[in-house]
Amino acid sequence: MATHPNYRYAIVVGASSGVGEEIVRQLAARGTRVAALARRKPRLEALAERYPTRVIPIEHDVQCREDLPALFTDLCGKLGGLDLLIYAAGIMPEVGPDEYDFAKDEQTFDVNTVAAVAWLDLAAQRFSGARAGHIVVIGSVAGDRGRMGQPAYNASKAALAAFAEALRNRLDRQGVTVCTIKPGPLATEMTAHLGFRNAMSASLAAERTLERAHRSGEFYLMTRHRILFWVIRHIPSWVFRRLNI
Amino acid sequence: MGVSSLEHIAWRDARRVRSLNGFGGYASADAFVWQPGAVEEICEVVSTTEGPIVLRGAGRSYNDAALMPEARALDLTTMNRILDWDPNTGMLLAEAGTSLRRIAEFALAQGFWLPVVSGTARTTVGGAVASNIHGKNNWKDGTFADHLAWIDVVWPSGERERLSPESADYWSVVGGLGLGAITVGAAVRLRRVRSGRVRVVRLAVDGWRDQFDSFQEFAESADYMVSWVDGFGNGRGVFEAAWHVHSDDLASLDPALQFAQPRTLSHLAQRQLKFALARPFARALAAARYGASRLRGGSSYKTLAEYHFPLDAWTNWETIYRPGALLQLQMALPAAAAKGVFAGWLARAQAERMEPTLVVLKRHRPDQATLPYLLDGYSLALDFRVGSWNQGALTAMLRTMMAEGLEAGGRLYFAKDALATADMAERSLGASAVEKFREFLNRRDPHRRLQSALGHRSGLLNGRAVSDV
Repeated sequence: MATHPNYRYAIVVGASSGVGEEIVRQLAARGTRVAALARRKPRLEALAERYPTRVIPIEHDVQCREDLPALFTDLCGKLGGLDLLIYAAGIMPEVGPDEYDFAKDEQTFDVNTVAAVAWLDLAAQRFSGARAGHIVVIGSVAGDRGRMGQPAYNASKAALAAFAEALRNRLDRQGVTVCTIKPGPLATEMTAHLGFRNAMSASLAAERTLERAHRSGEFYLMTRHRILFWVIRHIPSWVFRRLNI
Repeated sequence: MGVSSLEHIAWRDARRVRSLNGFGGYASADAFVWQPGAVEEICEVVSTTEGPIVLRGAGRSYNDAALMPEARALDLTTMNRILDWDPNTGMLLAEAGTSLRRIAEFALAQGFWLPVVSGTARTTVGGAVASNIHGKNNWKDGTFADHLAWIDVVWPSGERERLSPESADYWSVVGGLGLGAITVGAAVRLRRVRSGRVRVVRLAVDGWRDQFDSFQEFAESADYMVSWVDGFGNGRGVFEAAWHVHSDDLASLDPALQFAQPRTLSHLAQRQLKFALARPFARALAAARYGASRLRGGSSYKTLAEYHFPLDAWTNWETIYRPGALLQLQMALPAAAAKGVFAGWLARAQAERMEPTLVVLKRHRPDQATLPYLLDGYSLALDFRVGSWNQGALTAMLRTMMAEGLEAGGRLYFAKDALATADMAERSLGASAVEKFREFLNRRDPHRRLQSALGHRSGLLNGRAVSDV
């Protein structure tokens, strides 16, 4: 069984599928009160029915950010506090090898990075005042390099990782932890069209994420990934562009 | 102007959020902290804003009395002035955020001392009123509220009023746990002293009977009485009686002598001192303390501050309980039932191998507050270290002890209690007291603006006469 602090109150953004959904399930099972946010509210209802006193389902589109501060305050009020914010929303639209579609790329950045920054800023402000709290962003190994297949996705996750690192450096001395999780290939809806083999299950990824959620740093979820991506990060650019990865 | 002069302040701004603790760290909650600069500001805010407000002073209650999740925490420690002083009568008017230490320092320099103090001088006047605190002289001098000429309050409607002990609501505000009224100041009748020292007589007592006999023996003559009980023993401990020194001793009134610069435990010391809490060490230390008092009892002199506030010499002594927290059970029992219940408690704790780290016995008389916590008898306060490793077992044991205490006609102290349910609170206070207090709330705070987690837990905030639309 994983050892981690007992979080009392958590907000999970992007909670209707994949790792986010699993994280909500596992937090609720351990007694945390969770505000679960997603566009597809019906998908949240199942979790809310299973844990009626612990899961608060909220319909929210991360691209609508007008009343975000009010929503954030309201959620903290509904929960009774906040210990943990997990930003797990992310999209990876299919991009063809010759496709340069700004609309698609803009949306990728908007969901994966801009909206994440909006939530992280709110949480950082609150936690820095409280001098306590944990922020977790679900990044990706894909953010480690700009690869030919998913330019916008790679760049959006790289930007998110850099932003989270900066927050971590700011908040460390105030007792707030910022954790960047870099899952490798996962078997989720987002990646279904990629046909990964040997992908990690969302529930295992969620479990490993929660084990690390109270720590500051960047974490891969498998030792294999940590070694592999250390190598990949250090391949010189002139070699990298000739490889097919 | 027509608009509030405070509108530029966004009350529920995330930047105002602070993580607040009860003393000892067992209870905690985040709240939007607000430190008013003047009584007028408090009046304006309570009358022009909405949402729950929790009152907070030094945060020295051991529980959730000064906590309310996501509420506005009205932190009065910035309002800490002594407003008026009359050397002829000894009457001192202080703002609610003034610490007892500040008053003690001021008073000593004038040749006065507080009539009632808590075991720490960090508590504030507002907190002392809200919890109606007592000291080691409770059996003869009563509680804090017995020595006030008046209190100044702001009602949740925004109106101000000066309440004397003769007014109807005074006894609901004192001991009212910060519910129903915001105490913004109090006039304390200080006592003249000629010396800043007390003479302390220390006696080794070898069992419960001896403990109670000692209290009986000194009740007539002593100014203060308290007894330390060995948590690993069967009632043995060290009884102390103390007397004010009545010879002129100007030098001893120097606040600098009384209040040495407190020291802070280093991280290393915190880690090392944890061993002192581990069972074998705690047992040996307690035995040594008892043994030493057998060998070297007798009489000594202490400064008033040193005697009343021994642990204030360390700014953060409670941190030795980390990574766990400090949880205290204090109940007052009728004199006839006290021995049986207290002996049963210690035996139970020893049988379950969860001995208290500190046990203190005191003598009491009933208090007059609407929400009473004292009676003619004795109170035992037991400190425990609580953490994830023992929380379930320890709280279950404490609840059993509380049930036994209530069964024997005992009362809970709500400045300390962190576990009581609404049923237990009502048994402790009496149904008519709870009803009377709710009637007071319905009259003064019908919308329940003033809240606390304790107020909810104890059920005192229930029974609202009006519902918000």
